[in-house]
This record gives sequence, C-alpha cells and structure tokens, in this order.
Amino acid sequence: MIPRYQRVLFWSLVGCILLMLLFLLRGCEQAHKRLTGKGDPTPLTAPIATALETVTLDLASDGDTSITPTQRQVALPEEPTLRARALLEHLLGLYAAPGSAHPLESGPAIDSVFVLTLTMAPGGPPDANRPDPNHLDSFFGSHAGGQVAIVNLHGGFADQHPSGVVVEALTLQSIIGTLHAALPGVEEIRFLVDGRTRETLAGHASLLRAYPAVDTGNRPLVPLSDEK
Amino acid sequence: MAAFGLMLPGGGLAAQQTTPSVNYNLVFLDAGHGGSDPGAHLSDKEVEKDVNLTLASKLKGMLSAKGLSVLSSRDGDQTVTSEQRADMANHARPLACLLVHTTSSGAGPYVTVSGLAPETGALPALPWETAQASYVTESLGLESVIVDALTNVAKLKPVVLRASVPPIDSLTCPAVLLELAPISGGTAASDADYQQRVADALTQALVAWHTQALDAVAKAKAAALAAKTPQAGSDGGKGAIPNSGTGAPKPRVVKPAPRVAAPPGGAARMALPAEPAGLLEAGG
Ligand SMILES: [Zn+2]
Repeated sequence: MIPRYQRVLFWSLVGCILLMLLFLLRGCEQAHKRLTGKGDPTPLTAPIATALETVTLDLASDGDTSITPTQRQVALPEEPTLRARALLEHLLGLYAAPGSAHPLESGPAIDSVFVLTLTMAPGGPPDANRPDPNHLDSFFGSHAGGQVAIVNLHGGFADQHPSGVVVEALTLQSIIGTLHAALPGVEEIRFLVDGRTRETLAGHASLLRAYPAVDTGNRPLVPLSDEK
Repeated sequence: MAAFGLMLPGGGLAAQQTTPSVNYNLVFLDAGHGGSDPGAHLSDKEVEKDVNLTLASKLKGMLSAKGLSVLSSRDGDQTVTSEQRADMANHARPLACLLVHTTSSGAGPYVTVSGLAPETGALPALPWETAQASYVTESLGLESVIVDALTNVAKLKPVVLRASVPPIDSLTCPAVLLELAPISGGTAASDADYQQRVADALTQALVAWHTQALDAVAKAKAAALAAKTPQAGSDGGKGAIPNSGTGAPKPRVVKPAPRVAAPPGGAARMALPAEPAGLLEAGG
C-alpha cells in the first residue's frame, strides 16, 4: 500500500508538469504568432520567382510529330538567363508529367543557359581550315552584335532521353521554339551537356551544330532553319 | 519532280574543270550505329544497330540485283564514327546517300533531310560541318522520290521532317535518312515482311533516281551538242559521268584539322567571345 503522502506528492508533481506543459504550449503559440502574424511575408532570401505571367511553350507531341505553341501561366525570374533556364525546366518538367504527349524522364534537365552577344567580326581569327570569311554565315549563323543562347543540359537528362531521330528532334525543336518566343533577340542556339560539347542528344539529333532560333510551332514538317 | 534538272547532283558546265565526277552508278548505304554504339533499344532482345544492318543488307542485295553499285558504311557490327561515314561517302561521290535507322516509337517510315538551310550561292569551299547545305535542294528531290515509292509501292504513310543527324550535315551527296517505326498491328521495324516492303520501295525509288539522273545528263549533253559547245562529250566512261545540270557549282569540301587537335567544340570556341571560356574549354 502506497503511503498517502507519496500519492499526494505524485499527483502534485503531475499537476505541475501539466501546468508547465500548458505554459510552454502557450509560449510557442505566441512566438509563432509574433513571427507570422504581422502580415509581412518577406522571406529571408531574395525571391527567385515573381508573379505569374503568360508565356508561350512550344509543346511537342510524338503522336503527330507536331510542335504546338501553348500559353501557360508561369512564375519566372527577371534576369534573362535565369528566366530562360526556369522556362526550359518548366517545359521539360511538363514532358515528365503523366499523360505527356512527348514522355521524357523526370529530373533536372537544364544546368544553365547563357546568352552571349557576339563581339567577334564574322572573319574571326585566321585559321587555315576556314574558308572565305564572307561565306561563314551558314555555320556561324549570327553576326557580330547578334545574340547566341547556349543551353547547357544536365548529363543525366541527355543520358536518359529516349533514343530516336524523331523523338530527339522534337525535344530540340521544342526547346528552340520556346526559347525563341521568350528571347526574341537570340538568333542562334547551341547546346552543351555538362559544360562539354557532345555529338548527339541520345544517338541522333546533333548537338554540335548551331541552330537558328526560329518559331518551330505548328510547322512540324518544315525545316528548322528555312526562316532565318 | 518536274524540275529534276535543277536538282541534279553536281555543278554547271563552268564548274566542270574543278568539280570531281559524281559516280552515277553508286549508292551509299549507311546502317546507323554499330559496334560500341547500339542505338536505341527496340525491345528486350533487339538493339537498333542490328535491325538497321539487316535492313541495309537486304537493300544492298536488291540494289545490286538492279545493277547499281553499293558502298556500305559497315557490313558487320563495327564501330564507325560519323566522320568516317562522311569521309567514306564524300570520297566515293555517290549519286545518292541513304541513312538507315529504326525505332520502337512512332508509326511508319519517317523520311528526313538535313535541317540545314539550303545554301544556293556559289561557295569557294564547303565547311565540313555544313557541307550538306549545298545539297539540301537535291536531297529534297531524292526525298520526294522516296516518299512517292513508300506511299505507292509499299502502301505506307511516310512522314517527312528535317533534322540534323550525324553524319548527314557533312555529306556531299543528295542524302536522305529513313527512320523506320512500327506500323499498326504491332508490326515492329524488325519484321521481315515489313522490311521487305520498305526495301522494295526504296529500290524502286533509287533506280528511278538513277534513271532520272542519267536522262538529265543525256539531255544536258544533247543541249550542249546542239549549241556546238566543244565541252560536251568529254567523257567516255560508263560509271563516272562528269557533273552536269544547272545546279550551283560544287566547291571542294574543307575538312577541319584532325579531331584530336580540333574537337567539335572548336567551332563553338571560335564563334564565341571569351566570357564562358572555362565552360567551353571543358568541352575540349
Ligand atoms: Zn538510330
């Protein structure tokens, strides 16, 4: 039989514990209200995305080999290269979603996008292998002053991309058309994979050539480079 | 195809002294991938390189039976780089180049021409990476003949598109890439009957292309004789007929220094300012 004084002591201690618990909970609640209740949503780090805006995505469809410009509401950063990267990440993220008309694996796809302004005259430095500088237009599509976008893809994205002429060409056309809509000043688009040149995306579509930045939408069977 | 004369391989009369002869009897067949490059995985058991080779070999036999010579980029499971494929084709000066690929996605035959914009002006030299630009118009003519045959002979629904798939941009011949996808009813690109249908159509198309080329040459010769131009009739050989027609003169191809010294990234390095040098250098 437990002595009476011990039972009294036990229940007193239990009561104290409960009181302290209530005190603690109330304290936490008040602290939480102080932190969040002032209506000031400023985060500790600078915001990456701003308000939603309407963008045009050139969406690929494997079924009919088409590219369809589609308006979407997306939050994008202001800075052009971050903006281009976020836009392409969003585009390729859509392809990884269930029910996609151009299914790709999910995961990070775009490492970075650079937009450069050519400062070199079309002639460039002397090189024995280069023909008359007046005829370099077909290879170095842009002239001095023109902008070139370099899309640096993640190696994992390229490695997991389905292999095939059509499926790879559609991915590139989709990226090119979407970039063209977002950055109309860009004349030419080049690709790198993990910062390096790579012959093809997944065995077929060339990543070594410079692609003219054109509207690829709604013209699935028309060449990428006929409108320059 | 009425304007075939305009699409004829080779340059005008003025370019005859400098332009190498086109081998009008030769077709270049390139079975995609091979060796260490398997291509796409078509099923658990099939890889693309093997199915491509089966189709190309079948086609080779059929073209040979029609009297055409065939140069193959590979006859077995060898690794052949894109540059070696282009080298092989460009040295042989074939009348047509056909690149064969297969896939497990999509439907029917996809007939592709290089995505380069056609280059119509006379160039002193063709950059290796974009040499096909001067042949795109002719390639579209060949594509049209192939699409006709796939539609009318093989009773298929070919889809045409433009894409830069190595080595097509470096080829100095009318070049078409065929990617064969399954057809309805679960018939895979490796199906023997399906491949036979396609090979029949391609054979007819290439024979027709050959006949048209010879007709155009004969017409050009007759016209030259009628005009009493002494340049006409300068060849007596059967296989190699000098270039004729009214297309732009074809300049020599400038090949870059060996890849070891100038990797593909070299072009990007030259074209770009110094800002991302670290990044681009990494590509070398
Ligand atoms: Zn392939």
